[in-house]
Amino acid sequence: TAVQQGETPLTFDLGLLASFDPNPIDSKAYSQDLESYLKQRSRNATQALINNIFNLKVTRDIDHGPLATLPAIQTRLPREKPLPKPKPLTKWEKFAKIKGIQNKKKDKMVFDEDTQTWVPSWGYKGANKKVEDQWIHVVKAGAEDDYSPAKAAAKERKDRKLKNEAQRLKNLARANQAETKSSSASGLGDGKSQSGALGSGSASQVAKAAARQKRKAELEADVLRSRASTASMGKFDKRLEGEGKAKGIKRKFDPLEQDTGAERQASMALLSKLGTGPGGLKKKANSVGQGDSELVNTRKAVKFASGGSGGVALGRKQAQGASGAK
Amino acid sequence: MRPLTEEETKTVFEKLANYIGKNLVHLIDRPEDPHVFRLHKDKVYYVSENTMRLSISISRPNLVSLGTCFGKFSKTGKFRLHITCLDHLVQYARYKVWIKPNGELPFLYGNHVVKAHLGRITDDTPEHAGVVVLSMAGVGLGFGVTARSTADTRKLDPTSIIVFHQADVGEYLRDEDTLF
Repeated sequence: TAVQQGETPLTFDLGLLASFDPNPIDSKAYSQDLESYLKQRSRNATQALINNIFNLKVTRDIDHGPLATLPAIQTRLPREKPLPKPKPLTKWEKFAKIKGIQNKKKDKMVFDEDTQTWVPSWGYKGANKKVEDQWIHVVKAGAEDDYSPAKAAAKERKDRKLKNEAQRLKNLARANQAETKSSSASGLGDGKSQSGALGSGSASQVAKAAARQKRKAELEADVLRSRASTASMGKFDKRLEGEGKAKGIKRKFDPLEQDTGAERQASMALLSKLGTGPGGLKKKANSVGQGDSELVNTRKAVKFASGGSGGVALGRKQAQGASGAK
Repeated sequence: MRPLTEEETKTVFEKLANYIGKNLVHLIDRPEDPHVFRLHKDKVYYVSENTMRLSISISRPNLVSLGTCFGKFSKTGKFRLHITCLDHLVQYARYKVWIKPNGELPFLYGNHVVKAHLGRITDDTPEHAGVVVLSMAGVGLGFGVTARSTADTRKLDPTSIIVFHQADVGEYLRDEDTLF
């Protein structure tokens, strides 16, 4: 029952029921008889631990006898489980990240202007049921006889709920698919641990998914191209039912508040390219045989000179005239 | 309102160069009181920079017009000059045609200029060139395109057309709804 304190006193973490003996090992005793020396050291530390435990505040319990309350754990222990993987972003979270949209916190209580009181925005007596709970509704002129505005509003709310649920499930499915895809891709590396069929299955799966994506992109490109192959380049055509708007086609214009000096320089450069700058106006060269349009319009000159009969007739007449003169 | 794109600027400059040629530089690059081109609802406006900066704060549905309307773009991207730019064209025109007092009224009603009404014409005007039509007093009446070059015009008979009408000052009354 004696406790030997070495040079450094023993430290305790009673919450963990641990005692630490930081004294160095006596190499002579260690080499002589390893087992008994170690046993002696550990007996020492354990005895010290027991002594300290019995020094704690003891409460008498009927069923279990004396109980000591252990103090809080002092040593910092490492993680028991690994860090959790970051969850894949949902569709909305991805979009909000790109656009930089911050999450606006909504309060549960909302000030209702009609009753001038604070009402909960959802739940029991919530403001989202205001339209359904109205005692009177204004019905549009063209409604059927059995149109119930309260039921219609309730149906809308239920549809919204179901849509939200469906989107949540889709997010989960997308997350799972991403997980299995990444795991299967990494699983290809250690093919020995998995069965042969599973290994080949994931490879073909990956290839199939890639082919499917490529085909989908091709189809979308074809649809876009066929949409634009009308007489008005697809601008004034009626949109079909299944088609949505063409995505990603948005023209980008220069900002209004830009530096006008740069704008002017660009215009001057454009001018010189057109040929109407300080270089001078250059007229388009005519097609072969027409000559310089500034001087003589040969086509019209020939037409005038031949009296409408054309250049060949003119040549013939001139030749006749020359021979006749001779 | 937005600045013109590269393509649109090219179209507008080509059209203007038809009438004012090299002097287009004076429109673009004015050291005192610089002006810019802006596009609003398919119409091209020539406006001083200060006015342009003031008009930025007017929302698009409320903005009607700014500066001088030079013309508008059609749905297929072709640019058409309006009569409202006549002042700028007259200042910098390369080829001018002066018409006699008795020929002013037919032109203002939208008819082409016949040789009988021709007073003067700048000397080296080529065929199918953009030309500004002035009265004998030098007041701008409109613009058009020559049918024949100056040399050919001398040989024509008095009832033949020498300038095809494109825009005249009478349009201020006829087309006042669509001009600005």
